[in-house]
Amino acid sequence: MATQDTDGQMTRARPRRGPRVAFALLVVLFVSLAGSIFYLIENTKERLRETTYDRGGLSGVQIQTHFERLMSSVLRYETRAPDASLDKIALEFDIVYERVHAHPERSPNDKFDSPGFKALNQKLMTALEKCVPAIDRIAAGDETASEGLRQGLEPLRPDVDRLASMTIQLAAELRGRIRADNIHVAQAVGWLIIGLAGLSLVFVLLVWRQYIRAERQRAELLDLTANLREAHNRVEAASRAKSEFLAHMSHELRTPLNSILGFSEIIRDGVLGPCKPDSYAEYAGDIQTSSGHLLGLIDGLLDLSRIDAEQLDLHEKEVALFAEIE
Amino acid sequence: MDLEPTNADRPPIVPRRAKIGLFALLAIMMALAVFSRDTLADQASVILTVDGRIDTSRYPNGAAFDRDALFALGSEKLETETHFTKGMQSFEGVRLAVLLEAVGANGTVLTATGLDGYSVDIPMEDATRFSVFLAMKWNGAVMKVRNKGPVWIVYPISRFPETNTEIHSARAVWQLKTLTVR
Repeated sequence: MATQDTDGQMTRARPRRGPRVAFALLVVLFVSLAGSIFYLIENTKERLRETTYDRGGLSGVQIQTHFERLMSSVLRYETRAPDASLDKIALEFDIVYERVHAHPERSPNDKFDSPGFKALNQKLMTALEKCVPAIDRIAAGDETASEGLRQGLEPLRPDVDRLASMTIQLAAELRGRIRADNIHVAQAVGWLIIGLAGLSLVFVLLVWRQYIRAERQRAELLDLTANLREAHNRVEAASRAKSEFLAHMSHELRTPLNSILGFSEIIRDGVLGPCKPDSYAEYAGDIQTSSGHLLGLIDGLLDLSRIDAEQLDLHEKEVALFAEIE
Repeated sequence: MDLEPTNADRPPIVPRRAKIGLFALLAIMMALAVFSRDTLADQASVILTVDGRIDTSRYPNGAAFDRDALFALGSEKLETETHFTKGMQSFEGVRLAVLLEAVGANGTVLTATGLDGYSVDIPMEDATRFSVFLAMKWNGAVMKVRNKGPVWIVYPISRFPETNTEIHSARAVWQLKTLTVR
């Protein structure tokens, strides 16, 4: 945009400071919004990748199942079932032992923030440890060691059941917390995206406004150019009219001037008889000289208008050289 | 006792040809038993059996290994985190690929079964692609059933973080008893 300053000179207008700052702020906001979205998405990916292999509390139920299998194997041995054996009892016990032992460290059980869970697990572990010597004897084939084993294990059943229920509940709570966190993140990402979209809209509006303004200025410029061209044409036409007028005028002036020249010459020279008093002849001579001078001026004007019209051709004519010199 | 036919007249209860066949079968079985004693470990100390599509000329009844036989295939050490524990763990054992090579496994899927009855299908390519490990010693101690033993399929998730997923954790069978090549 150009404005005329006080000197009337055309200078480039400086953009005002306010809009520039606002624009810079918008850009900063845009970049930070986009950055936060990127961070949150990356972070969420990381959180989702952090696997918890047993979100359903399945490990508790598995302990329950294997405990029942152990109890069943002991019972079957006691009732002399054909496929029952001491080895089976030892194996089932070891499986229960391993599962209870590894239980608190298993993901996601390690994330349970519950002293009760740890205590219950520890209680079961201690009870199982007490059975280990008997089981080791059973594994070695000592039949007497199996006596009383069922009575020893039976009291553990409520704790096993409680542990299974607790694991399911704690896993559900943890799952709920993780899900709530994920929902929060998703919501945050959603709001950030809405913000980003809003900002984008602002940018689009700004660009649109600039475009409209530029279009208007272009139209104005075209108008201005057209006006300028018209004015220029008018000026040229006026100039041409002036030249033509001058040319015509000069031509029209010459006709009476030629009469004056001719007749003053006749009078001065006394062609039709002497002129009395003599001073009239002298005056006629003055008229003749002045007219000649005037003719020179008019010829000059005519030449000037011809030069204007670029139509000056030199035309030859006989010149009374001596008279010209005089 | 004229009425009774003599032994020579009576046709034998078991045909002679079948007798020879039975003897031959018995002989073959005995020979196999003797032969197998070298390759098959003592039943009591067997910890892992591999069956299915393996080299049946060498292992007609499946290949059974005790701990020493497994270690003899090529004992290696592995430091890794696992799906089920916290922090780095150190294991000793053999690579699954080595075992499969040794038994001439020729299949696409392994069915791994644990002592607790849990079984899972593992793509054979996991063995080579992720250097799947059969752990038998954990932090220096021989793994017993009470400690995920005798064999634990361990994915080196520290070296292959892409295996730190539920899919692979389900394949990491502990208390492994049998591998069936399909």
